Amino acid sequence: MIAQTDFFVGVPDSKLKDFLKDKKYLVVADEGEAVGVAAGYYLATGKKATVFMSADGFCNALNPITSLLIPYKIPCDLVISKRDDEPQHKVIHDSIHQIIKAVVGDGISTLNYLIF
Amino acid sequence: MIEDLLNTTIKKEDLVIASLGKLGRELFELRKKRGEPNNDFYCMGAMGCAIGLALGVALNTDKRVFLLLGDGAALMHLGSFTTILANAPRNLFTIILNNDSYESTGGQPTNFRFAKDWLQQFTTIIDVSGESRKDLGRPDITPEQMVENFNEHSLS
Repeated sequence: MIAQTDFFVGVPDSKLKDFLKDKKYLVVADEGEAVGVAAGYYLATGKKATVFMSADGFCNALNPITSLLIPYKIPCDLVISKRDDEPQHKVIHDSIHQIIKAVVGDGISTLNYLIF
Repeated sequence: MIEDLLNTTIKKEDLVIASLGKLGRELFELRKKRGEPNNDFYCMGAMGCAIGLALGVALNTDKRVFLLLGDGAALMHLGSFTTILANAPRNLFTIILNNDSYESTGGQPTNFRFAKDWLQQFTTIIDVSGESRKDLGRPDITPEQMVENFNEHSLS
């Protein structure tokens, strides 16, 4: 099960409104920072956190995902919303699955993600 | 400068997070030289993410958390400081070692001076010389081992 954690951190997106409803969460300035906070939560508690973000925001998070979460094997769940109703969202909407697949290969046991 | 901090400010029960670059490498060597257990976290990649990481730690521990940052790393995620201010964890102490340059990559100048007035209202900024030792090693423990050590120290 994804996102069954006690700690949620990220940057909101209109499509995440329902996901965030009734949840206590920490809003940060950018999605890379959110991944950092999630890693810090794990370092302090030994428990994993959930990071929420838009697909556009995923681009901001890619560096700490590849340089921090994966090499340090820090467990984390990613909840990512995507949309293609406007041109500025469409490129990443159409490519995010390929990008994630290229990054995680056949899967990384510590990293779970949900894209909707 | 880092050695002064270890002598005067940072105690063995404190949690330490260091940003990438020569700062972390120097800290790692000092711990070895002083025969101290290495429980520090070196954010070896993900430039600037040490800020969020230290906040995530500080909000979830009663221990004191020291965030040691270079000026370049501080600039990369300047917005993260607004999250720190909004949540104001009283156990988080940010120390920025400023040499106004990206020293690890050859000493190119940063624009840190334009952020200094704001940052020094809630962090400690220590101006240091641009020259660091040429023969600095690199942390030789695996990232996983580092996480394990830090975890153990933070939960102890």
